[in-house]
Amino acid sequence: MQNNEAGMKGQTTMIVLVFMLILFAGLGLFLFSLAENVSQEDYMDLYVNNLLLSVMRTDTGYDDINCKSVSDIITCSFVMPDWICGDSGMRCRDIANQSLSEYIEAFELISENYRYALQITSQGFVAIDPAEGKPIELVFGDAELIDSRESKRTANYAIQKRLGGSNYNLKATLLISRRTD
Amino acid sequence: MPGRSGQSNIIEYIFMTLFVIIMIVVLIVFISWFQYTQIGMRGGNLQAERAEFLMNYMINSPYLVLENSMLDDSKLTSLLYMDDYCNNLDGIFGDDWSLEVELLTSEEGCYANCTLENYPCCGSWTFCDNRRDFNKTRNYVIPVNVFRKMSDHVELASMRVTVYAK
Repeated sequence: MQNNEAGMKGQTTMIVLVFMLILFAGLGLFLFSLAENVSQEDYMDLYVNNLLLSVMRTDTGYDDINCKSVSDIITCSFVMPDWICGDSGMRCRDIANQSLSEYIEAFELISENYRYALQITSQGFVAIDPAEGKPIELVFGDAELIDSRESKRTANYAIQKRLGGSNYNLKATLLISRRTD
Repeated sequence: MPGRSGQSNIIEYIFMTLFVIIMIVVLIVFISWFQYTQIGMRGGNLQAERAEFLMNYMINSPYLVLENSMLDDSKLTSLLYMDDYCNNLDGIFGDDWSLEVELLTSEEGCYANCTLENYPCCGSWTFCDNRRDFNKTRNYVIPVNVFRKMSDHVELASMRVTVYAK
């Protein structure tokens, strides 16, 4: 009987010890869940929005009114893709391809750490590619990013231009996603 | 064996007491460490908020810009040559920052530090970089435009705001 009581008392002690260990471990986990991290969310939102805004307003170096700024070149690529910019001998679509990657990748943060895609869509009209007879879709950068499910940051910019007596509204969407490789 | 049973009971109580004391000490150390790291994190967040505030304010400040996020190169250059410009700017922005604007594109290939002598062929402006007594810093870069007043061109640039902890 005494041995039984001693055994039960020992078991009780062990249970109390395990219970206390679980209690303290739970307390530690609870405190960790309340831990504050240094947040970069607002900064990255500001960065992405400013990146798109600044790139769109940058002058390309061409004096041709249809090719003066990056947003002009993009509108030209959409509406008149075969337009030759000034004396360059280059189509505005080709200049857009070249300048956009150059400008966006000039920022080390993007070129080293992020994949990006810039998608241009028309608002209120449909532009048809004369060569292929299909609606024009313009994507610069990593096109796979648009439909991928990974976490992305997005910025939008409205382009409103007047070409050939008509008003055109386009939407530029910049998507960036952290590189995983 | 009552003697042995009494001894084992005493040992058991001592063991339990020691265990509880050790657990309490571990808990105190853990909470102290946790508080210490959280204070550091909070300090980091405050600096980040300060930097974001400064960036948002500077890209809209009429002392520096032509329009939102488009800095004016003539304003940047003339500001550098105001007497005691840094103290004057401290009155607006506080005294724990420095600013650097650097062109990333330049039609004329002008990237040097701006002075009254080389303007407009220059592409870099630095303000209030004399806070060397301050140790801890965080710096943040955002893309901006710089409007070249003389040539009527808009260039792409980066604006670096450094926040110092006194």
